[in-house]
Amino acid sequence: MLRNRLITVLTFNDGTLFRTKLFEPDYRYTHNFVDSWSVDEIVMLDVTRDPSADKTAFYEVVTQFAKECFVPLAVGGGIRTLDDARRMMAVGGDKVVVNSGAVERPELITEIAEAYGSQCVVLSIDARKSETLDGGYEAFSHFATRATGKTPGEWAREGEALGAGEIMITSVERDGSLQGYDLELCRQVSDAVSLPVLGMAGAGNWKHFVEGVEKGGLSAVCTQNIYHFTETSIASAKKFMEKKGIPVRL
Amino acid sequence: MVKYCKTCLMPDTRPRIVFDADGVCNACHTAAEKATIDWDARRAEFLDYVERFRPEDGPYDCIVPWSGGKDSSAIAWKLKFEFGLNPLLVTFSPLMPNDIAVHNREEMLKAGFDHVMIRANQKVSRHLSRRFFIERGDPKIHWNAGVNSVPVQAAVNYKIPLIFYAEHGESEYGGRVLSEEHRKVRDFAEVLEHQIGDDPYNWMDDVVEEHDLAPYLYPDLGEVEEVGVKALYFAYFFRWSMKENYDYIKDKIDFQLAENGRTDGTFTNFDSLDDKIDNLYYHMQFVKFGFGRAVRDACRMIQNGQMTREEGLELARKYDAEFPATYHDEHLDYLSLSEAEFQETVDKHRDPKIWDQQGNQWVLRNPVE
Repeated sequence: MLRNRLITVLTFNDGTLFRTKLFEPDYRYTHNFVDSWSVDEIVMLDVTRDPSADKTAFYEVVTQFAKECFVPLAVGGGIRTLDDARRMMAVGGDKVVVNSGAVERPELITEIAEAYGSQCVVLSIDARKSETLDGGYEAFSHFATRATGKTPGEWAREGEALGAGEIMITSVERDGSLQGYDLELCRQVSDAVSLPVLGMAGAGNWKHFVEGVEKGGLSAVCTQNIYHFTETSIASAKKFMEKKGIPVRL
Repeated sequence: MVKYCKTCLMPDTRPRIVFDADGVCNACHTAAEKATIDWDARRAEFLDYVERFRPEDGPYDCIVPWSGGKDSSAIAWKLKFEFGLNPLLVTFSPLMPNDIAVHNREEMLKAGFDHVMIRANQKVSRHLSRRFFIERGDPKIHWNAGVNSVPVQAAVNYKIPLIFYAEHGESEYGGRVLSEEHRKVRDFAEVLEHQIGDDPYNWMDDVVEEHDLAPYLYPDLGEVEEVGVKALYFAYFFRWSMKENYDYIKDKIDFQLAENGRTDGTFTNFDSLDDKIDNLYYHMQFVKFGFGRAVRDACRMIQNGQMTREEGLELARKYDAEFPATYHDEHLDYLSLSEAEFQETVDKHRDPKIWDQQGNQWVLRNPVE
């Protein structure tokens, strides 16, 4: 049976672990308490804004992390070329997450998929509510500052055709909130593709994880809340999900 | 590289604090704006709220979340004796109650107030304190939830819609101000996301059952709306200063101060006296973010024009790093930790970007100057 995954998402600003709210770094923390055993997967994203910033600090933290990590590690932030992806793999990533780079040059997805396989490419889509597009959402890039003119479902379908192995959908408006996932947005994307969809932004309590799977059609539920990263949190969240009938790895 | 505010001493490691292009923090801007506020108009707005929201019947006009400290006691006193309202004082018990605050609360009650206090199940409370201290370097996460939910629970149970909180921390002390309205009306989603950071519903485990979380959970939103709860910040309507609150209340009651003339880690003796765990709480702030209780207190006084930056800097250098020794043995007992476990936990919370380990010493990489 295919189990649903619980994923920890860590966002780093210049090598420092930060929680974000509405896409701005908000609360810094040490990563000493991130459990990399009982969670199903970890995503590490470099959210440093300055495109010319030195990425060394981020690479170092990924390398450190990869040494003690027993679950798949997806790494992203600022990937524009196959070489960038290669570098992310070299420092410890098992797969890469692409976003703005794929919007600028969609063939990036194909290049990485051909080099490493589709299972190594996660297409991350940041979406805002839209009053003009059908479905009511629009995909954005560049830290959610640049509109793509596409609905998240359209862009996810294109990504699938180009060779992406997974889609990660993030609601910009819910980032850093504890109000639950944007289930309508998750549902639109999971209906649009046959790939596993990872839902992100808004996880406040464990009921939201269950809703994400049941109503949002998510294959994996992500949390970026630093308070959900510890072993006790993850173990009890998974127990809760199992009790509600969601298949998880305990 | 940690940056410090040019006009006070606050570093940019304080969660959510916003600095302008000149390197001045948003708390300093809030303080500067106070000179331009039409306080008479704010007072009129306050009276208007009271008129509109005080219940038509029932003995109480409003709720004051009350620790018995200088701030909440000054608010309660003003509401009762300057505005003629009958507030119900509501306390969520400190984790480790301090006799000083027990005395100060009793002095207030002798002056003529009704008081309700909830003390949570201590088996659960101690368990959560220990867990949160280890995992998050903060033994008070659940207390923060309780101190926010219990006054609203009381508002629902006693059908008293109006609650007067003290000040909006994000604007007053540095943080992210979501809107002008957020300075006036308490937004409980903001409090949950900013101050507590987690939904108490997530705290069930082998020891904690769902019913154990009752003191920490916010009441059902439908019930809150039915009563029409309106939670306001007193500091929006009346100029706020912790020093002036102290000066005010000490003239009214026999207000006792910290035992040894000042509190661990700072130069003040009149602030945050009710919970022995606070001495550790503020020390952990120093460990996690690199600024301690002396910096915190000095910033507040600098912003209110009660101290120069140089004076504050001197006090910060003298006291900020001081270990909270006064109740240390009691802290270990409360948290069920050995000295070694305690030290190991503290050091795990040090951010290597802020701290440098030199031999067996931890040194701040960029101390305030």
